[in-house]
Amino acid sequence: MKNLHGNFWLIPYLYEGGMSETESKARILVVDDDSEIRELTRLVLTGSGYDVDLATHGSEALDRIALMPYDLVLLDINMPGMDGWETLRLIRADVDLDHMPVVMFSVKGQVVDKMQAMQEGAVDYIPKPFEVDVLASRVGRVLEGQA
Amino acid sequence: MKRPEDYRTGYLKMRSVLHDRATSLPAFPMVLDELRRMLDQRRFIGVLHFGIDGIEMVESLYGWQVLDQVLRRTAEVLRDQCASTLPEGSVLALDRVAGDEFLAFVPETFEQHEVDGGFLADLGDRILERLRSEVADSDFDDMAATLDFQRGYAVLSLSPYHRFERRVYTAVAESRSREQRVRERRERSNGEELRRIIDDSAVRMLFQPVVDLETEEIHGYEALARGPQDSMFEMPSTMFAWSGRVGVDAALDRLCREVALGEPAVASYDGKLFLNVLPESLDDPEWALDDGLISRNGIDRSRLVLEVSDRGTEDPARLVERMERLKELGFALALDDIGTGYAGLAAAEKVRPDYLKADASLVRGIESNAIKQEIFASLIQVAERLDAQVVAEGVESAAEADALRAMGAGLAQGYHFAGPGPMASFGGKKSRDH
Repeated sequence: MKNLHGNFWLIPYLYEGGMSETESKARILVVDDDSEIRELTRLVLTGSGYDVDLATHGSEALDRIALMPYDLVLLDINMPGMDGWETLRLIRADVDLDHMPVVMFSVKGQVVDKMQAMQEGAVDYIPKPFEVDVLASRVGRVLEGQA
Repeated sequence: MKRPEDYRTGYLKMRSVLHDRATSLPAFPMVLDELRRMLDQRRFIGVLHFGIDGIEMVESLYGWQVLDQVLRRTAEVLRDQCASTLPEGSVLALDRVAGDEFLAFVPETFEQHEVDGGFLADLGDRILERLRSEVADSDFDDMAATLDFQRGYAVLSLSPYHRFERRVYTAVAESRSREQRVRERRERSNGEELRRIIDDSAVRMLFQPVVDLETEEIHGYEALARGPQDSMFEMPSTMFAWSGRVGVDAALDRLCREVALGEPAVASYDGKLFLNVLPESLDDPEWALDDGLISRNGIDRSRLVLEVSDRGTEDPARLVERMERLKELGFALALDDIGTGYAGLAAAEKVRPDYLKADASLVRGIESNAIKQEIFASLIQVAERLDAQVVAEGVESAAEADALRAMGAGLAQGYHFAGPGPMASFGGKKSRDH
C-alpha cells in the first residue's frame, strides 16, 4: 500500500481501479446527427467515466458550448445544415474556445478529410465505425494532453 | 423570430472572417471606425504596408503550418514596433483573415506634425529592418533566402467629396502597389541571377541516405541539388521556386539530372538512387534512349528511383500517364511530398508508385500528434494496398523515428540518421552511428 499521508479518503479509489474515477470526470460533448452513433458513443464514454452531453447538429453544439465549454468535443463531419467543418470553424472563431480540443469523427475516413481536420485545428480524427476500446483510449489520450 | 443563439452563430461567423486566428490581428474593415476617429482630430493618416516576399513559396515548400508561424512571428514583431517605433496611437491590421499583407495606420503626433511620404518611407524602412533581422534571419533563417519583407506606404486624408471607406481602400491599394513595384524589381534581378547559374552549370549535388528503420542500413541515396554557396539559390527549393517564375524549369531540372548522374561515386554505387524530377521532365525523350545520359554514365535504369512531387501539377491524369510510361522503361517511381497536398494519395492509387514519401511536415512531432499519426496510418494502409514502400522524410529525433517504426514505416531519411553530404563521405553501407 502506498503511503497515503493521512489521505484515507483515497482508499476506496485505490481499490477500485486507482484514482481514474475522480480524475476523469471530464465533460465531453458528442455531436452527431445519427441517434444510434450518439447513443453508442455516450455509452462508451460514460462507461469510461466521463460526463457526456449530446447534440444532434452543429448549431445545437454551439449553443451548448456557449453555456459552458467542454473538455473535449467529438464532432461528426457530415451533418445536415451546419456541418462539422463549419461548426469547427465557428468554435475556433471564439477567443475563449480557441484551445478547446475538438476531435473529428466521421465515416468519411479519407486522407484529405484528415488533412483538412488538421488544418482547421482539430486535434484528432477518429474514423467511424470505431472500436469501443479505440474510442475510449484516444479520447483519453487527448484529455491527457498527449495529442 | 430570431433566437439569441442565432445571433451568437452570426457573431461567430462575422468574427471568423474579420479576426485572424494565427496573428490575432483584425482584418482592416474592423478598424475603420478607429481610423475615422483618428482622422477627426487630424488631417492625415499614414498607411504603411508590409508584404512578405516569397510567401507562396514558403507555403508550398514548407506547408501552411510554417507559413502560419511566419505570419504569427511577423505580427509579434509589428506589435513590438507599434509600442516602440511607431507613433503613439498607431493601429495594426491585416488586409484579410489568413492574408499575408500587414497594415499599420499611423497618426500625426505632437512631435510629428507631417505624416508625409519621406517620413513614412523612413519609418517603413526602420520596421523593415526589424522584420528582416527578427523574422527572416533568426527564427526562420533556414528559409531566409526565400523569405523577405517589403514595404509600401501612402497618405490617407479626408475629403468631403469622397466616402471615407473608399478613401481608405484607395490609400491601402496605393501603399500595396508601391510595395509591389519594389518586389517586381527584385524578381527581375533574381531571374537574371538564376539564368546565370544555369548557364555556368553552377549546381552541385549532395546525397542523403534513405535508411531502413529496422536495420538502420542504407537503402539508397536521394540526390539533392545545391546552388552556389551563400547565395539565395543555395537550397533547391528556392532555385526551383524561382525557375518556375522565370520559366527556366526544364533547363534547371536537366542540369541537376546531369550533375547527379555524372557524379563518379554514383556510377560505382550499386544501391538505389532517388532522383528528383519535375513532372514535365518525365516527357524528356532522354529517359528512353539507350545511349543517353543514363547509360553513358554506366547506370542501370532499375537502380534509379524517379521522385515526382504532386505539388503544382494541375492535371493528375497526365502525371499518371507519364509515370506509367517510365515504369515500363524499368525505372522505379516515388511520389514525393505526401501529406502536404490533397492530390498526393489520390494520384498514388492510380500511379502505383514503388515508394510513397511522407513530407517532413507530417513527420515533425508525430510522436505526440494524434492527427498526424492518423494521417500517417492511412498512408501506410495505402502503401500496403499498392505494395509500395513508405519513406518518412525529415526525421530529426529518436522519438520521431521510434514512433514511425512502431507504426510500420519501412524507410526514413533525415538529420537523425544523416544529413545531406558528398557521396564519398558516407563510405560503407552502414548508416552513421548516432
